[in-house]
Amino acid sequence: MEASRRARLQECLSSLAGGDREAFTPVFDILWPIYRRFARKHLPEIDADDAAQEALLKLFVRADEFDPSRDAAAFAIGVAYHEIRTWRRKRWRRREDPAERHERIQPSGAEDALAAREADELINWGLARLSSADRETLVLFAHEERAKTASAVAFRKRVQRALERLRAILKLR
Amino acid sequence: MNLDSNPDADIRRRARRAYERARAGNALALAAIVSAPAMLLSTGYCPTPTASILCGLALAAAIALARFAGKGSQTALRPGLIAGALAFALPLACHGLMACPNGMCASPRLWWIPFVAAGAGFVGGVAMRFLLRGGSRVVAGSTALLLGSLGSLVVGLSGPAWTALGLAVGTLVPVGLVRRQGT
Repeated sequence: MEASRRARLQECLSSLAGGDREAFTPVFDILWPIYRRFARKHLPEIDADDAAQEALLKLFVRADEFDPSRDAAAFAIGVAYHEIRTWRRKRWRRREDPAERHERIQPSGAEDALAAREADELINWGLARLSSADRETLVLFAHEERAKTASAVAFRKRVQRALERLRAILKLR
Repeated sequence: MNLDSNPDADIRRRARRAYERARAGNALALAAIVSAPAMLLSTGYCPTPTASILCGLALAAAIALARFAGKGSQTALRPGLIAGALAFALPLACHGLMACPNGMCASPRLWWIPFVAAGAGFVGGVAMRFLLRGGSRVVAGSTALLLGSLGSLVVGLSGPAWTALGLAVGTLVPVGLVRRQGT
């Protein structure tokens, strides 16, 4: 940030902290392009604009807390940095989310779609040959539920055994 | 040009709303933090709880409005509250030292309690005069008076009048001295 813009930001953010509404527009005009560039640099384009907006809203929420004896640019960049870190963490968690993972491995091409359909048919064929208790256990497991009569450990054991039987059935095919 | 079609206009509007909302929240929080304990103490110790509650609500409204308005009003809050705190604490402390059981004291020293309220107002007024730099005098004075009145209500309904008198003298005397020195 240029020295003149930095000085202007210092002046305007101090005024804004004191409740001077006229300082809102200059603060917005200085920070919005900086936040957008900053977010685009550190986040994928799909998230960058949303993150920049969130960061800017947070800055204006916290504008009241700004202490004019401190550096306004450091304060503003600190807010943006924190928001971008939060977005990165969110992205990381989304990547670990099984639903998202399932979404990501969805086939895109026609061949992949065919392969996926065949895999589904194979699993359904195997499930049909399992005992009703094993089938129920695996269905509950797939829906991230647990049999009410079983403890967590016992249910995990049941799932493990049902999966072993399913694998054995599929190998026989 | 239609601003609504501009995505920057939308984020600008949202940012402005976020700023105003945050200021309103902070103003209400400050009003509650200052007024609630003062009002509780006043209703507990003063003989006219209704007056204490009304005075406390008026103080809360004054603080919230001044804090939300910002600029000179916000700057004036600090000196006003410091002056008010002095004017609030002294009459209550005096009352506590005298240990009056029902607020309206039957002690022979009763006659000088209003002077304590006025003296506390005077001290508050002098403090406000020296602390107030560029802020609104109206806001500082009214905040000090309302907060001070919550304490001086211990004297009865005449308490706020004594506080107002003390505050007025406290704020005016130093100004007069400064003017005389200047001429």
